[in-house]
Amino acid sequence: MGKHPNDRLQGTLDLLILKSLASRGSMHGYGITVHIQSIAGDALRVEEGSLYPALHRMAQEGWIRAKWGSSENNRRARFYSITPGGLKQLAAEEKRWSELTAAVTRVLQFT
Amino acid sequence: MAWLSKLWNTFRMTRLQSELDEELRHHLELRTRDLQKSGMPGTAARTEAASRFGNFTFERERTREMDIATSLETIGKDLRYALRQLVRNPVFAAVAVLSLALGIGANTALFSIFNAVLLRSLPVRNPDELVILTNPDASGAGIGSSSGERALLTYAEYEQLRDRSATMAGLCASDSSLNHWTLRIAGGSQEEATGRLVSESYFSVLGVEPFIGRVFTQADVASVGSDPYAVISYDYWQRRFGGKANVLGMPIRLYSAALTVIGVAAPGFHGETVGENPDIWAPMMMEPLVKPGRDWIHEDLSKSIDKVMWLHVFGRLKPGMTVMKAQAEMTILFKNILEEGYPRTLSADDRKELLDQRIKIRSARTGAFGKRNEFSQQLLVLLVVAGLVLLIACANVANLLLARATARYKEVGIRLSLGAARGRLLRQFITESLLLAGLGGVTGIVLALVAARELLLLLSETEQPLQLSTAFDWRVLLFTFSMTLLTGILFGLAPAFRNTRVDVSQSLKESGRSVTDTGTRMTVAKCLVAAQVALSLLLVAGAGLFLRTLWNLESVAVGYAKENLLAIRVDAVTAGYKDAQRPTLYNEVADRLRALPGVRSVAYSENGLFGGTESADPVDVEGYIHKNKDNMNARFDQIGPGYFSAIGVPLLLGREINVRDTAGALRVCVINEAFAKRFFAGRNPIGKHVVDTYGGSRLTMEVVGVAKDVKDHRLRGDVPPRFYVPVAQGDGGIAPNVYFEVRTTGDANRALNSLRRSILQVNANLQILMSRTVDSLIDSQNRLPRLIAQLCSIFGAIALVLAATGLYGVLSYSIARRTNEIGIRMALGADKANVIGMVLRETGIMIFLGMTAGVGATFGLTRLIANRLYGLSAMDPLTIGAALGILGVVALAASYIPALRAARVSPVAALRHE
Repeated sequence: MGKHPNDRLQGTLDLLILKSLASRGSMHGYGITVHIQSIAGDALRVEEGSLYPALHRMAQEGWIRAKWGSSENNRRARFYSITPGGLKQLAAEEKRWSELTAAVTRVLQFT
Repeated sequence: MAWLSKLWNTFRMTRLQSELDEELRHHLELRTRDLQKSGMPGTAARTEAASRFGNFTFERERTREMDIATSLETIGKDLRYALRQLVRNPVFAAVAVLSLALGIGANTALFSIFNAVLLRSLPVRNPDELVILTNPDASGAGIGSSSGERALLTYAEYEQLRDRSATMAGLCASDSSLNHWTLRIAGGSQEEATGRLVSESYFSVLGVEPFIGRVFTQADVASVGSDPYAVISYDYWQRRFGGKANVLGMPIRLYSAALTVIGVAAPGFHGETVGENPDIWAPMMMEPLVKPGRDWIHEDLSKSIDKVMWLHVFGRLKPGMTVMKAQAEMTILFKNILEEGYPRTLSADDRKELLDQRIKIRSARTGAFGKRNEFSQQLLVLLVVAGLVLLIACANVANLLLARATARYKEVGIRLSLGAARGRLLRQFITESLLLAGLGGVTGIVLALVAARELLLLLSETEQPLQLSTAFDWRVLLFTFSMTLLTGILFGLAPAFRNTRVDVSQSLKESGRSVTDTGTRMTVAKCLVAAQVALSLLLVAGAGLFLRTLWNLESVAVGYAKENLLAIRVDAVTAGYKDAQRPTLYNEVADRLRALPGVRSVAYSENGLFGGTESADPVDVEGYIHKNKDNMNARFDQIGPGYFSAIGVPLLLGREINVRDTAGALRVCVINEAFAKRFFAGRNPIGKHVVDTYGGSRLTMEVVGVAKDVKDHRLRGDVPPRFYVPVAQGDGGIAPNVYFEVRTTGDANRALNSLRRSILQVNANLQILMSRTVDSLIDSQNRLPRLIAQLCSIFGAIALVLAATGLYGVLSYSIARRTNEIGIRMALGADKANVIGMVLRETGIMIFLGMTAGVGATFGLTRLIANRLYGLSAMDPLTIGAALGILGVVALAASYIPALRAARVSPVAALRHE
């Protein structure tokens, strides 16, 4: 399986998805997109379609759980929610993220 | 079960894809709707939604890749993990894999034979179109009349069916018995080969092509002897002629026929009968020359009620025809043939009885096979037994897994608390079981490859080995694969569920001192052990029943000394002897044999002792008034002078047949005890008359003696009524061949060569059809019972070992868990005897429950094998009692060691035990 260039964002995207699901509970894919955009604004704009490979991979990893339900427009939709494993993963990712940003900030502040 | 879910995923890929499409489209729709709400016009909103989404197909494919790739990855991970677990516990792995391999191997070996005999199609064109008009289980040649469903057909009947049938694309016939021919190839010395006479249409109807040369065709049929050709099998060509092309044109001298090899049949084609591989096929028109003195092609149908029934007839259905349509047609055709086939001069009753014959059409996809029913029943018994052994092995592995689960209790707890999904762990446990089963399956196949060949040898007649290809085709592999999968799930599922139902906080707190989990886990384990005990009892009792049957059969008193007794079957017809010449020939041969050193006595008879041929006719008996539906049939034999004294059968009344009972003298017969009891109940039979009424003829004989009942054809069952007539006077002609029964002073087999030489000195053209000791003939009747008894004993022993291991394992484990409890008891004053008693009580309950269930199962199941038993009932209390005893001793031994270990527990050490 060849790596896609988007994969360098993978860690970030995973973190955002896990965080969204941790704070908002069960959501479908579009809901997650809207949630991230409503908070981050246009700064974090990625192609919406690239969300789905990430969701499916994380479901296979056992971090999130997928379940069919009915959406607000009364259509069948797949809803995702976080698992205990996902919560642990989120904690680890958050830690890694803050370490990374702290390190980057330190470099930037170094004059 | 990661790989299973992968398999499942592949199957439902299309569904997954449509689900994925649905999910992605749902996203686009919601985005378009939101954009429209914010004031964007319809088309623009759709374009914008699509552009924000990115490349739809690309993302869809990537997402799919994720689903597949990750599951592939987890399969790998699960497998690696499972392998590590097995390597870490090599003893556990070895015991589990070996016991499974034994079970799976035995089943696979048996199934591969079952498959070869009952399931595999003949290697011919469209085998599904082939039907057989005769009984595929029948073989041999019957001369006389028949009633009810016809087993074999005559040549004339075959010809008429062939010419009149409209539902068949073609019919062909083959000699139902495989011939052992003595022949000379290209003027060389005498050698033996197996051969079969087949109709000229044989190869074209079956759709078998020649490998080289050509095969017979209908065009070769002109008159008797017009097609002196031979087609040989590919194997014979390789074996005898080294696969050289110059075999074509090779002359073969076969009795009165001079054949020329015209072709080699396609490789893999062994004829229409399973288990018999002829070397040579000769055309039917050569029959009178290949079997001199026996013209079975030209019997006159309209004059005689005797038919020579010797052919299997096969047909190929025309496209669109069914067995049912063919049956309807054949029933009418055969009825007409019968009407024309019996003389009109017969009495109405006789004619009605003779016309009451039918042919039954069956699919011939799997070909003919003599004794298929008997054979497959034996195989079924063995398959069931092997299946039970596999079940016991499964119970053992399940128990091992359960015991190990406790060791991994904490590990599972930790992994669950770290967020592992229960499903994921379950999958891992089941992958491990399937890996074990898979290893067992692969080892089992290797075992089966060897075992199948050995089994086949055991199952074969010594005279005529069964030639079956037990090659593992897709059916066998599918069978083994499903069995492996099934066992893996069977022994893996329950432990997997139990193992992952872990109370996380409890497992982490537990220090080994607590006994919280013993409750249900030990119950499951004990139930498994009880089940093993039950199944073992069933197997041991079954083995016991078969063993005692064998012993009973081997100790049957036949009524004469069977030691140092030879049976040599000599055919007079092939050498050209006519009816009237035969008695003189037989007497001459007997005299010559008698004169040899080391020969004590010589007798001869048409059907011999345990030789496999038999005669029976309806009789009228003087002074016996027969009621309607009374069975008036009696067996009979043609015997030489001095028969009874030579073999050692005492005469109870009167005299035996002697040299003065010649063709011109008064017709006499000797009857056996059973005949006397049946027809003369209480009256003196000497001087009374017996009339053979076969076919309306009335052959009257005076009874001159009564011989003691002896077993001469079957070991089982009662001795049937029989009468003996002198060969010189005959009954339905003079016996065309006889068995010479030769009693020797020393080892009978050593005298064989000089005996054969003496016979050929009388006339070098005499054909010796068979020569064996009567002992070995009787023995071959016990071959299948012996095989079953041996295999069941082996399986029973394996079952005992497995059950003992299971019992030992569970007890050791439960005692290890209770070390501190035992310590406390001892500290409180319990002595060794108390502790041993406590452990044995625990065992006792398991064994008692198992035995009770086992006795129930034994009573229920052994009834199914009642007809294979001899001299004892299926619920023989002695056998079942012995089985209980053996099992009890083994169980006690298996539990005594752990009990003793428990008794040696030192209270101080036990209380410190963590």
